Order: sequence, then C-alpha cells, then structure tokens
Amino acid sequence: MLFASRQYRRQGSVLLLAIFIAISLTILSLSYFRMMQAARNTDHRLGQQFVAREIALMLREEAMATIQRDCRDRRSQIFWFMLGAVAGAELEMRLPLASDNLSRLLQPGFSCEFSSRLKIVNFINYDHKNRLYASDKEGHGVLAVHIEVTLLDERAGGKSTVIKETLHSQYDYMVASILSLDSRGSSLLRPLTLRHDRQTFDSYSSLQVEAYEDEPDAPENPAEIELYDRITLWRLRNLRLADLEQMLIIDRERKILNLYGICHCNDSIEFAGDWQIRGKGVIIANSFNITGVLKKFSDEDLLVLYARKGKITVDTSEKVEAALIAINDSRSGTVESRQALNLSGMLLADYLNLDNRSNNQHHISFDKALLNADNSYQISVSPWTNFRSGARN
Amino acid sequence: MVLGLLVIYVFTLISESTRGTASAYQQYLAEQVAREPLEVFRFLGSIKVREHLNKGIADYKFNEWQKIETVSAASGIERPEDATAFERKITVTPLSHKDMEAILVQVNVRPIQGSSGLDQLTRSTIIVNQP
Repeated sequence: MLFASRQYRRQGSVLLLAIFIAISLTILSLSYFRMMQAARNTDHRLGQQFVAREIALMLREEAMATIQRDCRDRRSQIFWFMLGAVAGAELEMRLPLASDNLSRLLQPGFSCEFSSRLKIVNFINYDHKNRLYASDKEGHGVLAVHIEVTLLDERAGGKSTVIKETLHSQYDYMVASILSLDSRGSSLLRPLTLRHDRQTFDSYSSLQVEAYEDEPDAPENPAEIELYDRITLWRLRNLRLADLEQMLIIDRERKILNLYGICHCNDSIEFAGDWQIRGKGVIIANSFNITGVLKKFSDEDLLVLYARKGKITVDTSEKVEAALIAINDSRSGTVESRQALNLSGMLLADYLNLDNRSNNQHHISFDKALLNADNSYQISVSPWTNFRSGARN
Repeated sequence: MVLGLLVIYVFTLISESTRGTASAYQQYLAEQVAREPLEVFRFLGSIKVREHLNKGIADYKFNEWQKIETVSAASGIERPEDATAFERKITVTPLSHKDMEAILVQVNVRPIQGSSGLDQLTRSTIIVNQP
C-alpha cells in the first residue's frame, strides 16, 4: 500500500514536470516564431523605408531643378514668389515628373502620397556691414524645401500608412539687379559718361551720341560715380576665364554668352568672331578685347562688360550690343576703338580713346533695356545644401 | 526523454539563430551591393550617366549580370570579400517630362549559383538632371 502510494506520487511529479516543460517549450517556440516574424517585418519595413527615402530624394532633386529653372524665368510663379518675399511665405510646388514616374519605384499593392513646399526662412536686404541695398528687393535669403512622403499599403483593399518620410533642406539665395541700382533706379541711364575727361561731342565730332527722350542730365560730379561696388551682390567672384568657359557662361564652341547675374573673373577676356547674347548679366573682368559682333538674342537680353583694371578695346566696325564700363581708381579706364565704333548700349569710362586717324565716324545709341530696373532683378539659388534633416542614410 | 527533447530544441534554436544571423548578414551585404551604384550615380548626376548609357560608366556595366570585385579598378571602391558571393545587374532607363529629364536606375542583386543565402534583391531610384 505504502509502496503503491510512493509510486503514484513519483509518477505525478514526472507528469507535472513534463507539463511544465511542455508549457515552457511552447512559450519558447512561440516567442522564437514571434521573434522571426518581427525580424521579417523589420526587413520589410527597412525595404519600404529605403523606397520612401529614395522617393524623397528624387522629389527634392526635381524641386531643385524646377527652382533653378524657374527662378530665371520671369513668367514663372516661383520667380514672383521669391522676388520680394518675406520670411514665412510658403508655396506649394507641383512636381509632374515625380507624379508620372513614382509608381516605378513602388512594389505592387503600394501607393504613395507626397507634398512639396517652398518656404522663405529669412530674407535681409542689407550686406555684411549692415548697409542697406538701394532696393528692398535686393538681398540675401534662405529658402527651405520641405518634402513629405507617405507610403500606403493597398493590398488589403483599404489604405493603411506603411511609413512616412520627411526631408527638409535649406538653400541660400540672392536677389540682385544687374543695373547697379541707386535710389532713382538704374545707374546706367546715359549713353555716354566720362569720369575724368572733359571732351565734348557735338554734331561735328567724330563721335555721334544718339540722345533719347527724358535722358537725365549729366551728373554734377562724374568723378564720384561708383558702379557695382556692392560685391556681396555678385553671383560669382574671383573666377578664372577657364571657369566661365567651363560653366558655359562663355560658350566658345557655340559662340554664346549665357548670362545670369553679376560674374567676376580675374582675367582678361577676348571676344573674337560673332557672339550671341542670351539672358541678362554683367561680366566683370580685368580688361576686354572685342573683335567681332556682340548681338542680343532678343530685345530683353542685356550684357554689361565692366573692365576694372584695364581697358576695353573694340577692334571692329560691327555692331556691339552691350553696355561698356571701364573705370578704376587709377583713372586709367578707357574704351579704345580702333575702327568706327558702332555701340548700342551705353559707355562709361574714365576717358575716351577713339581712333580719329582714318576719319572714322563713331556712333553710340542708348539701349532702352537699361532703363527698366524692374526687369533687371536676377534670383540665384545656391545648389549647395546648408541644412538638411530627415531621410536618413 | 524530456531532457532529450529539451536538448533537441536548444540545438534547433541555436542552429536556427546561426542561420538567421548568416541570412541577415547576407541580406545586409546584398543591400549594400545594391545601394552602391545608386549612391555613386546620384553623386555623378544623371547627365553623366546618360552620356555613358551604351558603354557603362567606370566599371559599372549596364543590362548584364556582373560579378562583384573586392576592389573596383576604375573607381577604387573597396568591398568586403563576402560581397564576391553576389552578382549584380544594373538597368538605366531615361525618363523625361517636358524639359525635365531623369534616369530610372534599377539594381538587381542575386547570389552566385552555389552560394547559400537569399533570393534576388531589387533596389531602384530616380535621379533628376540638375541644371
């Protein structure tokens, strides 16, 4: 009897132990399979996160390409949004390339919603020494591009959010006029001004200056004229000629000047042959040598050549459609014409050196595109990101 | 018997865990092998890649399965030894919308036959021309 009771007790203990171990094994198995499932879900989630991140990067690239294109187009919404914008202004952007092609990045059963917003973070119209610019539209700003991407899972019929990705980037931008504005507007309002030369030209002179209606009087003290002295408004500074050529601002192969804003080059520049002027811009260099045609592609295009250290030599009788400026602190800035000068634009120099030996008749007519200060603003957005958050690598 | 079951379970768990770790490592390697050309092409820009659509760029060939080298002779990019267990196929498709141009880059990565690990992995991106 006693022996039987002990045997039952032992069997009961073994049974309890077996049940305990079975329960433990079940719990362990369940936890292991849950862990494996979680690992698979994490893999899937990381894959989706990669897709969302790539979409955000693509949207930012399209947004930047659109901004770079549209800020040069006066007919675009972005140009007018950025011209005169104040901090906090926002604009929703349309990105048609992304809308058409995003589905190529998505797995079957998934869809994507996105938004792209521009925001002016800040804008100041003074330089690093707190000197206000002549126009309150000129200045420096920070532009933010805010991208939001939501991936949706539509496999179960409805739409459930899989992942959200945001990408916030900021870029510097600058608004500058190419007409070196003063309080009255354009500074390039007279067809001919000489800072340190008292020559006078009348109808019998070898130089004929074509006046226009409402032409302003000559400045009382031309020696005080300073142009393009706010170097913080120069878009490019201290470049070499090779840089301008590499950036196709001077496209020697196609003989096109692709102008935009104020560009400074620390070299002498020669324009030989027939050149076409596209866009509006100022090229500041040590000196210039023009031996061919400089022709505007359209009436709105505008070229200003500013020699800061030497002279501008014009060795052609062909028409030159440009504003020529040759002034410097040593008063040696001059425009030298070796043939009959035919200039459409304006001329500003310390003194003038026209060839009279071969009875050449020189001619200067004023280009009225130089009057329009409102059309002279150029917006440059830096391609370099100065702040970025979101869309982890 | 109970102890035997427990031992079998523990061994299974350890072997599964080892296999899972190896699989995760293979997945990670494949992911990096797939992302590499996407990041390089994004850096180069789509204009540069478009210029080399027919002949490939650096030692990235297009539209063919290519073995992964530990060191790229053209670019100097170094990869771990285990990456040679994969091969990669890069496909570039030009895209455009009015004056906006872009490329769709698709990278497929699969283990070389005989290698254990994962199935084919695909990663894609769109790179837009920057003016």
